[in-house]
Amino acid sequence: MLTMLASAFTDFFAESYKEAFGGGMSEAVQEAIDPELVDFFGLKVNPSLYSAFLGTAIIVIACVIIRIFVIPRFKKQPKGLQLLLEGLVGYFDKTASPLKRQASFVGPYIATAAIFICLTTLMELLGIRPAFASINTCLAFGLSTFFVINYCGLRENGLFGRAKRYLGNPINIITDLAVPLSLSFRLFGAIMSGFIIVELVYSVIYLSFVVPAAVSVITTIFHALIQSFLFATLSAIFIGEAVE
Amino acid sequence: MIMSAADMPLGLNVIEILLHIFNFIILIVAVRFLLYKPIKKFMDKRAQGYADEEADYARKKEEAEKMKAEAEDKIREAEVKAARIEDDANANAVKEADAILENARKDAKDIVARAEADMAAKEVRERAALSREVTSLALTMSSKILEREVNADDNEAVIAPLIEQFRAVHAGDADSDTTKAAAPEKKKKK
Repeated sequence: MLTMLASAFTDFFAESYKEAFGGGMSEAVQEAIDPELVDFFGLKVNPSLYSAFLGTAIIVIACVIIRIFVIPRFKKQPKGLQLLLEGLVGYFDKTASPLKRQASFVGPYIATAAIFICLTTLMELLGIRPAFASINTCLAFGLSTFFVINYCGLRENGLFGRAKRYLGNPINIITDLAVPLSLSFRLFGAIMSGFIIVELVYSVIYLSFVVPAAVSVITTIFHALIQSFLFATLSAIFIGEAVE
Repeated sequence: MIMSAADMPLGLNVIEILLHIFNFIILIVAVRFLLYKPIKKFMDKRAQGYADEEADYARKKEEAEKMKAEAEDKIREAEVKAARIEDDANANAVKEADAILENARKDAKDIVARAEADMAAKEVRERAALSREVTSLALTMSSKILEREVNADDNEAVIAPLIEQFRAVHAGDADSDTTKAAAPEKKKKK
């Protein structure tokens, strides 16, 4: 009953929108949520997978270039790009530093996740579908963090220490299982909503001139930075909790 | 078993998730070994270098302070030594001066003694000469009184005992006090 009411309201809203602006709001939202699947070695996949591969390729190429041309020319007094890179590494290293011997693994992990989230979300500005506009990407990241949390916890406290945490307080099982879901859905919701809003704005012809300049800043750039920061910080906190 | 993307809500696809995880793993490996580790290594090395420099500086400062303290000790010792040497030298100088003074006093005493001895000898000589003069004078006077020539026999008989007497008296005076020798001489001259 409630669902029917909701769908009736949506249909009504869509119709009114169509009449008012002449755009295809429902089509735009439909396209954003459920895009046309693309072929990947015979497998039908979300185009976000290609965005993710593109992001990875860009980052790896950048890493290779930096490794070959920039790092050997590092000076004792950092400047320009060196300052930026040192700032990034220093920030993630500091965030991961309370994790003791796990820090050498967790630092690069959260750094990579943050850089990837930021870059693939910012690609939206070029008209490329953001990698995190697919629940599969978000779940992959949530599950990766879940795996890292448990790996570090087991490595630091052993099987018995880990089991004691769940036996002593069974609510911890739910807490820990909720972590990958919360991380995934937060990421998906934030980035998908931003993507949908931008798609909506572009779907209306006379809203697509000046408005995107303001809307993109709020929905894309802010989301890119905030979500990458959040994912990195939350991952570090959850891993730290497991290591304690 | 795996449902196609269209069947799952929100296009959920396990294979896609695995592909994303695989993609992410590659990315982590690349970032870790190409970017993160070299930069971290560089930063750690630099930090270590600064720490080493600081430790080196602290060590050198400590050494310098130790050396300064040692030098100050040495200066203090040297000052004490110098003062002692000065004191010794002063004491020696006083001693030497005393010795020189003593010698001078002794020399002066010797000189005075010698002079006195010389004077005594001279007095004896002069007294002999005087006695001879007195004898001849007495002879002259007596010959004048007697208005005749006093010969050697008369002389022997009259003057010689007088002279002997005079000599005996004078010799006794000279033996008792040499310093007073000049005074009786004057008296006798009168």
